[in-house]
Amino acid sequence: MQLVLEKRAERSNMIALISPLIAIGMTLVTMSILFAILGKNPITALGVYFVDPLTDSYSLQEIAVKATPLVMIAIGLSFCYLANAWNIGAEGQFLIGAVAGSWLAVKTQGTDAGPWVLPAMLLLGAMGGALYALIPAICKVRFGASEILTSLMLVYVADLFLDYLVRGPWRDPKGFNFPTTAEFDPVATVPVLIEGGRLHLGGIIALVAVAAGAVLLGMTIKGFEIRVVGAAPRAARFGGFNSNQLILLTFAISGALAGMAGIIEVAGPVGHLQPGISPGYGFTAIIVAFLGRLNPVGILIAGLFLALTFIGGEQAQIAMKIPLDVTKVFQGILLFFVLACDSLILYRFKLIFASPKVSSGAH
Amino acid sequence: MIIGETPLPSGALGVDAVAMTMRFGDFTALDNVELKVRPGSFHALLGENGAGKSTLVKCIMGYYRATEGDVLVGGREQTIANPKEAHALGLGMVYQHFTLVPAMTVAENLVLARDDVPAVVNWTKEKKELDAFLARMPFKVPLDARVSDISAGERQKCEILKQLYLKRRFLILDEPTSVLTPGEADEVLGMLRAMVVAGDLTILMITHKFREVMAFADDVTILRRGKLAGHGKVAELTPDDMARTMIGAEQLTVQPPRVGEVGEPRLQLTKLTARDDACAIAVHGVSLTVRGGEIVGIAGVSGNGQRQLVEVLAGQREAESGDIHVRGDLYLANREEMRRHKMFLLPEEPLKNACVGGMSVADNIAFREFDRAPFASGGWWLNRSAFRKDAERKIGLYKIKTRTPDTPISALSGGNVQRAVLARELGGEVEVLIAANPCFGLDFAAVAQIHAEIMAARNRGAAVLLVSEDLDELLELSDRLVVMFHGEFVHEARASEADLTEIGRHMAGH
Repeated sequence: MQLVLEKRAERSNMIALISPLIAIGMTLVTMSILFAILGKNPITALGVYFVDPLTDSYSLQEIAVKATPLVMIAIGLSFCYLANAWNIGAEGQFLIGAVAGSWLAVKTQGTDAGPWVLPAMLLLGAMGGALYALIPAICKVRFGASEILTSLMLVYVADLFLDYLVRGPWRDPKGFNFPTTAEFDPVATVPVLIEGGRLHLGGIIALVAVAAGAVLLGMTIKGFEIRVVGAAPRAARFGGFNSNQLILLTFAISGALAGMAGIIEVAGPVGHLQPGISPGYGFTAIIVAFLGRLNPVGILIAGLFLALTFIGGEQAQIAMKIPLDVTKVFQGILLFFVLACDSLILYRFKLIFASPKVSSGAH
Repeated sequence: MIIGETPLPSGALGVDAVAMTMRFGDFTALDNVELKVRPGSFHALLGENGAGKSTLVKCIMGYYRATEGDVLVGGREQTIANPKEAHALGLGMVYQHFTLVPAMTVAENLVLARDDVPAVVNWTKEKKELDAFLARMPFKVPLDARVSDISAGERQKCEILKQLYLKRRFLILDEPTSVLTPGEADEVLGMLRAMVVAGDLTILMITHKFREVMAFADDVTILRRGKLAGHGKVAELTPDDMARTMIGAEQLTVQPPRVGEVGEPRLQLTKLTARDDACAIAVHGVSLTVRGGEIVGIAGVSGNGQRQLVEVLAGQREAESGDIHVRGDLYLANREEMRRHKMFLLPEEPLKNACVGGMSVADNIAFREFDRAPFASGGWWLNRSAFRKDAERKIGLYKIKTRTPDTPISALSGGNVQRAVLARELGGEVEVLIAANPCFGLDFAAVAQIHAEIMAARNRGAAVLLVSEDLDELLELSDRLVVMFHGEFVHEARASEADLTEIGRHMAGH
C-alpha cells in the first residue's frame, strides 16, 4: 500500500475555500499534543486560548485593537503577494512609519499646535513606510536583488534605528532614563471610540483599508494588472505590462499601510514611541494574508483570529503559566499547515493498494 | 515467466491490444480499442490530439494499467505492470524528445542505459562489443562524440540505436521525426523500414504526417476521441481517407484564397541579436522586412533561435543589440506601441504564453483592451459588464467552447484556449501579426480555423511573420520562406517556388 499525491484534473475551488479551516483544525490538534507534552490539560488550555477571550468586553476590544495593525499590514501585503513581489519586511516598514509619525509628535510636544497634528502624523507614517518599502523594491527592479532578503534585513535596521532614537535624541528628559519618548499630547493621540475603552479610531481605518482593498483589486485597472502580473508573468510580458512599475507600486502601497499601522499603534494604544511597540505584527501579518486567501474580507477574518491568539497567549501565560512563546509556535505551525493544505487545491491524496501494479507517470 | 512455457519467439515481435479501456475518473480516454500489430510490420497509429494514442501506447508499455483489456505479446497474454516488465519482453519506446545525456558520449549513453551496468565498466571490452554491434546496424553514429556535439538527426538515430542495443524487438516511436529535417526523417525511417523488412523488428509509429505513413507504413490504425475509428492496409488508402476517418463528420473552416497586393514595409528587423537563458547567442544579427499583405514564414528545426526571436518580438526577452521598427518607428514591445501599431501575436502554448490560467475567459479576452473604453472609464475603473458582453460576442463568433464567460480559461481544451487568443488578437483591426507554432498540438478543426484567420488577416493587408516547425503549414500559408539555422537566416525563397529538399538541406545547416 502506498500514499501518492496525484494532480487533480482541475483546481478544486471547494478545497480552496476550506483549506484554511483544515489548517486551523490540524494546528489545534498539534497544539493539543504540545500542551500535553508541557503537562497541561489540552482542553483547558485551548479553552483559555480561544474561548475565554471571547467572553468579556475588555478582551473583545483588545482583540480588535490587536487585529487593527494585523489587518492593515496584511491588506498591503496581499497586493505584493498577488503581484508576485515578496515583501517580508512589513515589520520594518511598520517601525519606520511609527518613527516618521512620531517625529511630528515629538517636535510639537508642549506647543499649542492644533488638531491638524494627528492627520499629519498618519500621513507621515504612511509616507515613511512607503519610502522604506521602496528601498528593496528599487533594488529589485534596478539590480535584481532578491526582495525577500533585502526587505527582511531592513527590518533589523529599522529596529535599531528606533532604538537609537528613543535612547538618544528623542528620549524623554523626565523619563528616568527609560528608553522612551514623552507621552504624546492629546492632539497627537488617536482618539478612542468608546469612552474609557480601548477600541480606537484605527479600527475604523482598518475597515476602510479592507473596503478600499476589495475595490482596488476587483474594480480597477491597477487591480487587474496586479493580478495578471502575479498570476502569469510570461503572459504579462507578452501583453506589454510593466511589471517593474507594479512591483514598485505594490511595495509602496504595502509599506504605506504598514507605516500607517505603525504610527496608529504608537499614537493609539501605546501613547509614546518606545522599543518593542510590535510583538511581530509585520511577520504575523504574513500569516494573516495567506490564511485570508489574499482576499480582503478573508484577511479581516484571519486578522481577528490571529489577534485572538495574541490575547489568548497572554491569558494562558497568566492563568496556566504557559510560556508566551507558545503563541509564536502556534502561529508558525498555522502558517505551515495553511501552505501545506494549499497543495490540496491542485493535488489530492490517493491510496494505492498492490503498489507495483501501477507506476506513476499520469499526465 | 512460468517454467515449462515455451520462450517467446525470436526476431520481430507482434503485439495486440484487445478491448482496451482506460478511464481517468469520469473521463474515458480509451473506449474498447483494438490494435493488431503484425510481427515484422511497420504500423502507423494516427489520430488527433487527445484521440488516445499516447494513452494506448502507455498502457502497452506498462506506464498505465488499463481499466479493462489485455495486451498480447507474441500471441501470448501478458500482464505488463511497469515499463521494466515491458523492456524484459523486448518492447521499447522512443520519445518525441531526447532522453540522452548531452554531456556524455554516445558510447557512455548506450552502455549506461543497460539494466545490468557493472559497478566498474570495462570500457575497452564494451567498446569492442559496441563496435561489433554497430557493424551489424544500418545506422552509423560517432561513438566517441559527445551527444551535445551531434546533430538532431544523429541524436534521434542514437535513441533508436539505444533501443536496438538493449535488444528491443518491438519499437514504439512517438512522433520521431518532429525534430528532424525531411531529409533526416526519410533516412532514419528508411533504415528502420529495412530492418522491419528483414524481419528483425516490428514498429508502431505515432505520427500526424501522412507523407511518412504513405511512404513507410504497411498498416494503419486510426483513433478518434478514444475510440477505434478505422484500420487497414496503407496501400489501399489515400491521405484523404485517413484524414476523414480522423476528424469524423466535423465541418472544417474553409481557408480564403490568397488575394491582394503586397504593400509597404511594416515590420523591419535590423541586425537583431538576442541571447538565450544560458546567455549563449541564440539570434545572431538577423535582418528581415515584412510588408503589408504578405506572410513571411520562418522555417527551421526547433532550437535554432526561433523561440528567442519570437520572445523578443513579444516583449518577453530583451534584445542584445539591433532594432525593430514598425512602420518606421522604433519598437520596444510595450503596450502603447502594440496598440498604436495594431501589432498582435499568436504564440505557441497559448495557455502558458498569452493567458492567465486562473482568470476567466472574459478577462483573458479583454487582456489587451481592458484599460480602454468601453472596458474602462476614467482611467481607473473597470466596466465588468463590458467585459462580459464583448466576451459573449467573441465566444460565439470564434466558436469557443466554454461553459460560461466566467469559467477559468485553464479549464478549456488547447484548441479552445487558442481560439480565445485568436478572438483577442485577431478580433479587431490587425496591421502586424506574429504567429509562432500557432497550431502546435491542436485538432484539425482548430488548425483549419486558425489557418483561415491568418490568411484572412493577410488578405486584409496585415504583415504576417509566421514561425513554425511544421514545413507543410509554412508552405501552405507563406508568400516568402526564410530558413533559420543556428540563429541566422541562411536561405530565402518564394514559397511557390520552394524546393523541399533544398529547404531541408538549409535547415540541417548544409
